Amino acid sequence: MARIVVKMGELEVSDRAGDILTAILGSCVGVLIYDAGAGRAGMAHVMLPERIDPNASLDKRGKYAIPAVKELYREMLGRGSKPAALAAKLSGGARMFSDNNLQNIGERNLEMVRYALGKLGIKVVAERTGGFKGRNVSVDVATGRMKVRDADGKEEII
Amino acid sequence: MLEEGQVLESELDVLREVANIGSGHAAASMEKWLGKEMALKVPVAAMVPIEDVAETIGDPLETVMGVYSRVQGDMEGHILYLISLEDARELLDIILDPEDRGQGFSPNNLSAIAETGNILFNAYLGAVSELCGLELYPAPPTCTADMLAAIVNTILLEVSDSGDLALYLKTEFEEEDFTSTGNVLFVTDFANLARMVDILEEE
Repeated sequence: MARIVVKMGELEVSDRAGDILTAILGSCVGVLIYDAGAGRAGMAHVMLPERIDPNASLDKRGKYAIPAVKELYREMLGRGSKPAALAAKLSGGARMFSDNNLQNIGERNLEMVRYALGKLGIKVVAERTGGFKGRNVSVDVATGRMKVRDADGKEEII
Repeated sequence: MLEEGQVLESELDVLREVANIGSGHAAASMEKWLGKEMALKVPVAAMVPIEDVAETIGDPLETVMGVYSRVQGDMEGHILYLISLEDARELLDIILDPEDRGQGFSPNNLSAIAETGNILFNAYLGAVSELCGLELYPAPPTCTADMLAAIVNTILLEVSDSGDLALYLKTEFEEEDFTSTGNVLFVTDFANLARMVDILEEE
């Protein structure tokens, strides 16, 4: 049993009962793909909607929305999940400051993540996204339940 | 030439000097604004993996007050002033008129904190402008209280496309009777940092 911190731009998958995946999200998006029947879950901590700089590295598997979702999907299947058993939950994508340019990253991250999930036929069954507050999320790998907590201590489970 | 992955210690020294001078001016402006003496810690110019920046500043989960401005003018950048909630309350006790105190973080009080950030940013960027021969100024600041990592990481996203490392300039302020240890963070992308280093190394 371990608490696995999914850092910005990273991606982690686990199927060990008791493992918890966690991330602190502002405008970043936490994409959870899980297979409750198999007790398997993976989360990507998506930073950006797409790569603009052609020389930017793709070393961070969770950094850009589309490659992150594809990689998460591939890894879930690689560990034995069937596509039909997969579901997704989303968190993050907040607008942290009321600056006109900054606000777009969170929204655009969400848009691209949804697009990628849709292409793969993975349904988003629950989400806590957008708004103006950061979120601290933790996911129970065995069940895919996601706890979402804000800075004021308000907590919800989705 | 400054490049990600091979930044020389001498280049970091140049950037530390920028942070030093920027912070010196910022501290002087704070002294005037607060009527109190400020001490500066040695500024940090550090290059770390972008996902580790928040934890080098403090507890990623701690709720802090953040004032943010986009840097405009001859160079794009981002500047952030972070203080603990406790320090933000003490700051309000100093800058507000007695009759306006004790209202927590009301919208008016938040704009007083944002104004403090604005004063710091103008002084900091004014000094950097003069040093580098560039015109830099802050956009109107905005302010929020939230988890440190959620604030810092959101700002870092703005410079994260071209690299997985972040170079940031950080200064801590201290003030004697009020325990303030505010942090000022300045981030920009590598192309802009390289420009600054080139200008300063020529001088």
